[in-house]
Amino acid sequence: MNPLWRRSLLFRTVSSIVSISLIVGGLIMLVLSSIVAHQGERDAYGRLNELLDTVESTVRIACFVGNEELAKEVANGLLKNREVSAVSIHSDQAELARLARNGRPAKNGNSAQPLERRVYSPFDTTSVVGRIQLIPDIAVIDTQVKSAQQHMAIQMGLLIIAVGIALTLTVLRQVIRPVNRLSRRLASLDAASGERLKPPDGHEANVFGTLTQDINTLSGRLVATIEAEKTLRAQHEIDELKYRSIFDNAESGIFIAGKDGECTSCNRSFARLTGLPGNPQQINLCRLGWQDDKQLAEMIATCLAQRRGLAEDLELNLAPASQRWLHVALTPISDDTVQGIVSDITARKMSEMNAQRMAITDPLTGLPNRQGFENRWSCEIADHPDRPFALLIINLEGFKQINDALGFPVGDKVLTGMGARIVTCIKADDTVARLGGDEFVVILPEITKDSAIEKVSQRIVAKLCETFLIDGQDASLGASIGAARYPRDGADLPTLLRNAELALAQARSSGGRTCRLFDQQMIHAIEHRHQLGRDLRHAAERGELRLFYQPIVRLGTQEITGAESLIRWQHPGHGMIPPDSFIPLAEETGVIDQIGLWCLDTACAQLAQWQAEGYDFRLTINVSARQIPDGLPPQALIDATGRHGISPAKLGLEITESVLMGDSESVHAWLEAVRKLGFSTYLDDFGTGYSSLSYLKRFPIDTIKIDKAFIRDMTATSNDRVMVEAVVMMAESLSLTVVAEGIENPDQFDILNRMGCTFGQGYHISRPVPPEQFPLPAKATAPVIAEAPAIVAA
Amino acid sequence: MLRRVLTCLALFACCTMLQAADIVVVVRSDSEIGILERSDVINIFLGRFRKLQSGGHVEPLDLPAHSSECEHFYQRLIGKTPAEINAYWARLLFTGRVFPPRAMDSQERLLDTLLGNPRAIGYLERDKVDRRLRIVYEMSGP
Repeated sequence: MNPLWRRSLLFRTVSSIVSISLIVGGLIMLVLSSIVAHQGERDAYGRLNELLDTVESTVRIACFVGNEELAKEVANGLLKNREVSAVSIHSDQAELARLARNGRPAKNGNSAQPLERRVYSPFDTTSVVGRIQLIPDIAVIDTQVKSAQQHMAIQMGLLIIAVGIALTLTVLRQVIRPVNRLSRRLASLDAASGERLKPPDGHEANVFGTLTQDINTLSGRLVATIEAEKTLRAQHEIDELKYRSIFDNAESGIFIAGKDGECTSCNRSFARLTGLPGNPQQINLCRLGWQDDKQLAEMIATCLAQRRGLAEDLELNLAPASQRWLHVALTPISDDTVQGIVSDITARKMSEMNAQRMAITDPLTGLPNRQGFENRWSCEIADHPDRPFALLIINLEGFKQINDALGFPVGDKVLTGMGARIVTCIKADDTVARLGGDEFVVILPEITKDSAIEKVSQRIVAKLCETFLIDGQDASLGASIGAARYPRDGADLPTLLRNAELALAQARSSGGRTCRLFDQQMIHAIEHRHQLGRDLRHAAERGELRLFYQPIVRLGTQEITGAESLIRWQHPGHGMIPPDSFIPLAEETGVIDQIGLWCLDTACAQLAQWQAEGYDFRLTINVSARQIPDGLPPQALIDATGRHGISPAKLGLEITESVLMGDSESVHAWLEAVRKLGFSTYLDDFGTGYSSLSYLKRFPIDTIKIDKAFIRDMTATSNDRVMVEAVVMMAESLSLTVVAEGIENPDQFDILNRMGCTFGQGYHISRPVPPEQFPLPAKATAPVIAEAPAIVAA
Repeated sequence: MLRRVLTCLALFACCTMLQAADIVVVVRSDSEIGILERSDVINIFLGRFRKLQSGGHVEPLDLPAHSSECEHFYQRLIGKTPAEINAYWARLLFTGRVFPPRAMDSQERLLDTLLGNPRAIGYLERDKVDRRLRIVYEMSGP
């Protein structure tokens, strides 16, 4: 490329040639000089030997005859030669001659090897007659050798110089100049425009030609590669712009961060979501003000360690009292870099949390609901198993009636108000929740003394029982409380709730408006009830049930017109069990249907028997609310009477007012159906419930039975008597028959008889008795009543 | 007949030649010189020694160089012609120290000299030898 380089190449080539020539030449010269020295010496000795050959015959003679003169003559002749320095000749007798050059005595040795020959007789070549010794002149020989070496060195030197010059010229011509030319052309070559490099003139076919071709090929490839690279870069720039635009304008926040959380790049959305200034630099994402600083750092570490993407919802505190939920999805993009996509999920998160709160909150009162309560206190028990507390279940009494009478909006208001009242009765760290319906639960932490629990409970009951104003009217509710203590009455929440419910049931059954603490006896009672329920299931088939009959008489004539059948259970273990104790149980367990059918069949059988015996009695059976309409379908009734061959008019069906208060449509239909079939209907216990005259009008009832409570307290002047009288008069005007229940003394009998009540039953007349003790009148006087439905005494 | 004569003549000639070659080295019969080896004869006649090992002096006598006896003697002894022997002596003569054996004119003269000098030693044809002489060395073969 430049002259310096060229000179340098020339210089290096020439100096290399010269130095190699010098070294090789020097070595060759050393070897040659040694060869030359050796050769010169050998030549000298050869010449001396030849010299000895020429004088041999004379020396033989001299030695043969021992002639000193002749020997000296020979020796002198030998010394004429420059290479000989001394000669000595011996016969076998004596020394014949010893001569040295320049008078020097002939010395043996020095560095020259003496030449010695034995001398044979001239006439007998086997007999030795003497010897001749010749000492070469080493100085002369050395001079000759040196001279030969010098010659050789000069020749060699000249040869090296000649070769060096020839090589240098050749290299200059064959290498340096073409390279130089090629380099100049290469320097001015414009490969991009397709120009081709030309080989130096005269070198087209040799290595320079090949080199030129190779360079052309290479430059062609390079140009092509650069072109491709340019195209790629242009494409890349377009892509980059595209992605940059997507990145910048994305709705989601996008960032790229290192393994310690330092942000290397992020878009506008990210800055907006995280509340950073427009173009943040040098920000550590882990310290943006997350609710939990470590969470993002841990995510990044996990993401990088496991080489997989992951996502989590993180809470960011933007400003005091302003929170934002961000969904952060991380993806590893290299060994120590992650890419994150951030979206704002605050709204979703809030609605989720709302829904969560809703799920555990009672929307009406704002108190926790059963779910929330159970969640919280199950955890509480699990977390602090040794912390005692008391659990109260509060039940409002009479709420259903308010709801029914005044509608749900009023009921809701009442519930809200009651919830608020409960809250006022307890301390701040106590818990109130609504379990559902009209049931609330209160937790009193750290309370262990029964007296304290009772005190709080009574306070709550008293508060709840206070009157309140609804639609301008005073109203009041009762409340009962059942309490259970943790851990004494149960180790877990379900047990505590159940036990508190038991205590509550106890409180309610003892009249309400009171509080009961749970005790183990309640469990036993329940277990007893369960046992009874199981026994009841088999009572009918085991023949443990019996029907007793309480006669009904016409008050005016005191004549028996029929009876009410009352069920009795003769339990093998517990003796006679009254219906009050097992009928509710039978209703709960569903056995009531089976029992009802048994009663129907038994009563019909009894009627058939009386009919066969000539007695024209009517018999009533009690039908519970649970049996209507499907437990005792009209078809079953008509089947039974048909089977026993009795008229449906003989059988009366007693229902209570509560039946009418239930599902009035189906009850109505059932009543219509049975009456159409000829059965008569009785309204039992009239006056105890929410007796409404509208029932009498709406439902097809034949007879009403006035509850014994009215009869019991009836004296000549009491209100009850007035009421009974009113009922009798009203029934008369509605064409309903009236039966008075519970007549226990003659006074009651007389009063009723006088006020026009037609029929009556009670201990005064007869207790309920088994069929065999039934006080049958004498057959002769037994009247025959043909007409129906009214019970008309004969 | 002629052929037979010729063959006889050839045989004779051969016998004569053999006869002529039979030369012996002799001394006077009372000479102290005993039987000699070939090397002794060479040493004595070619100038190396002129003394015996016993210490007695010896004088070799030669026949004329052109005589056939001389030629035969040297030819038989050392394989050299009389010319070569002459050249040999020529090289030595100029030193003046050694001399060739004294040459006798004829065999008779040599015989006389031998008889007259007990120290003399010479060579003769065998048939010239008589009782006065004693053979000290016989040429073996031609």
